[in-house]
Amino acid sequence: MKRMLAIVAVLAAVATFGFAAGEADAPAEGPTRIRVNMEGYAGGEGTPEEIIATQQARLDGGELNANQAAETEWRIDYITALAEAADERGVQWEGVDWGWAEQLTQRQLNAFLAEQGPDILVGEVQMPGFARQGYLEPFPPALAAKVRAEVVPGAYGPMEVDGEIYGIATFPGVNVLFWNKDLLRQAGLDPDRAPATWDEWLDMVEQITAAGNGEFYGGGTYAGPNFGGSLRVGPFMMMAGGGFIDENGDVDFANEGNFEAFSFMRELAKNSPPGAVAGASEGGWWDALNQGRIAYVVDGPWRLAAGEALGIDIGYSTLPIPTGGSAANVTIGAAFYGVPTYAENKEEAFLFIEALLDESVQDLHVQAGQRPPVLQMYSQDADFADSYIATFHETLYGDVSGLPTFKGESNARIWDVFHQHMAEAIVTDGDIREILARAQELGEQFQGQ
Amino acid sequence: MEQATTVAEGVRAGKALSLSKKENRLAWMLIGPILLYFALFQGFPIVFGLGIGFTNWVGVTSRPTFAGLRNFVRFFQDPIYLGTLWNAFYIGALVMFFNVTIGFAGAYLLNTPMKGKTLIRSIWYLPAVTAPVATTQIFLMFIDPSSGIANRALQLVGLEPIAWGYSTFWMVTWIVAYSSWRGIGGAMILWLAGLQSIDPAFYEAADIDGASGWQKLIYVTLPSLRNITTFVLITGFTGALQIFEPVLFISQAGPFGTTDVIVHRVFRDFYGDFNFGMAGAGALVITLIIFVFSLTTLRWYQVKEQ
Repeated sequence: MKRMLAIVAVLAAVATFGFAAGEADAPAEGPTRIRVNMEGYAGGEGTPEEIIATQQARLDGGELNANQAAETEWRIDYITALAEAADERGVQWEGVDWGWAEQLTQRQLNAFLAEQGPDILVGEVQMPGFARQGYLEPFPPALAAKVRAEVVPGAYGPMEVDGEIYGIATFPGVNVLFWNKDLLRQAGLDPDRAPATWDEWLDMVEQITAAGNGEFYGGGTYAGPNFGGSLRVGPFMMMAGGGFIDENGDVDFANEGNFEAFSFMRELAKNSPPGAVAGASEGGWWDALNQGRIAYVVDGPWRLAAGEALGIDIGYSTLPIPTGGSAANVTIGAAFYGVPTYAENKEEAFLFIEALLDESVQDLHVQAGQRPPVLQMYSQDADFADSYIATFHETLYGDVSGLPTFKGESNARIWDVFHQHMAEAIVTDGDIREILARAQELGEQFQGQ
Repeated sequence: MEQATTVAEGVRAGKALSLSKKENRLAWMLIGPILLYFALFQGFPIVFGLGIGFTNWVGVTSRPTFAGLRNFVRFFQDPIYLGTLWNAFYIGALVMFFNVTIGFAGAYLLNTPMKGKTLIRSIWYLPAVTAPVATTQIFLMFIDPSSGIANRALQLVGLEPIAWGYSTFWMVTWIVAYSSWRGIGGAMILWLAGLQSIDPAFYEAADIDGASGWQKLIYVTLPSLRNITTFVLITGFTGALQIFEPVLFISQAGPFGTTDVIVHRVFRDFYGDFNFGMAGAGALVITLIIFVFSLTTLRWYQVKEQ
């Protein structure tokens, strides 16, 4: 047994010293290279040179269609500009792609547990929660002041906690109404007219459904039992004076605003292919749009380019508002960048975030036309008055928030409860008030745990 | 002479001891690495995972504190946890029923002389080795509300399309269908191994006695498969109670939470709420249920054997 232990000890020692020797053999370290968790739209894996080489290889492969080739060329330009902007600030970096949604959150959770990982994290609905739970560093005063002075409020508002900024979306999304102009034409409607109110929109939607006679429908918005649903239903709740939490931050599902919003959404939901509105997966909903089976959808800015790529003649406007209500929105697809408390290179990390706001980098978002830039200067520029930027900035200057993090220890459970009851309220014939009351009761129960 | 005998015996004994030591050492050298691997990467996580059920540990950067049985009390007082446990039982039971029965029927068929047996066996087992994340996506495409083959087929024969995702009945049906599609092959292989291990002499004796095919199944085949039955039941129940991927990828616990199951709840507690204490407690409850079921089944087997 002693010999066995000795063998194990020797093996462990060899392994340990082996690794140590490996480290000793590594080339001498140059300037600090921070690791940046990036998302798929404007990021990549590896150093800027490696990301560009990968994209170039895709281009050279010659297997991309025109849209893919244009996107790849844009990505090369974007990474080049970002590398230069970071370099000007003395920051070397490499990208880390951890995917998105559940997979990303799991990896970030592991990074927090291990207290090591990328110096910058990116994410959507989980990031405001990370900020509130103290996992992120507040922006240094100079950067925070610069952000407040130069950036549209909707880009950082959801990441503000107690007056501090903990993250920023440098190409954020907010919900906008998109429509398939061809289907409006087939229904005898003006394809360029945006509905201003809920009543007007519902009327148009019903006309399209009637004209479609089962072939196509008016549509509305996806309302599935997940964040994809609540991110798109949320603005309607807020516009009607409802929402997820009250002024004290307590669960507040059973309110009149939500009742009004869900009643409206239920009417809208009758104008979509069976099962598409609240399917567990969003896929069915977007398939319906892509196949020309629904006219209206609510989505983030990428839908414009995605629709055009499929040859859909697409119109867009800010969301219609309810009679007596006011405009409000929820960020969607907003990739918030923040610096985790465990980061070893916080100073460089914040300089990198500043580079993301550099005009040369922001200009590339204008060029791509998929996501709005966040610098206020664009909405003040007359050249952009009629562009999609104006539409999105109009919203980003308004009442924009992220989805909240609920009090207590059961945020995910409360979200599960909300999502399930939201879908039930919208796609069944049940009593909406009773469904909301059930959600409220469970939400309060879990909030108290 | 007596002394010489004693010396010779001593030398032999010494050699035997030395051989035994050598064998011992060799055994440890062979088993040691895998034991070490198991202890580090499986044993420790298992003990750790079960241990955290007795702690209050919420949040990534917080530290666990001992909570005694608090999490377990909460588990059994919370209708949602009990509901997910019940869902796992009844959905799992359906899956197990189809796996065991259809698997047995398939094995019985493949145990008869027929052409292309190996190919059929491979095709039947193929789903078991596919990646759930890929195959569930294919399943989702099948029931896609807008362009899925299932609804198109209904429309082709003049029926209204079905909103599959809004119906508990249909979601349970699809979860069971998918799980059985993946699980039947595994069960079939086990049954087949059992069938092939039955001594042909039993059947010859039954033939001489004039037994019918049905009588041979009841009086020869099934009694001879008792040990395999025990194994199939225990592994089937373990797999059924831990049903997870189809719920995560196909129904997402919907519609309206009616297909949420206990392992999915544990997953949500851990990765959604970072409530490691409750996740550990849920995992321990599942483990205990499986443990009790396994012991009961083994006991049944032993009683039957006696």
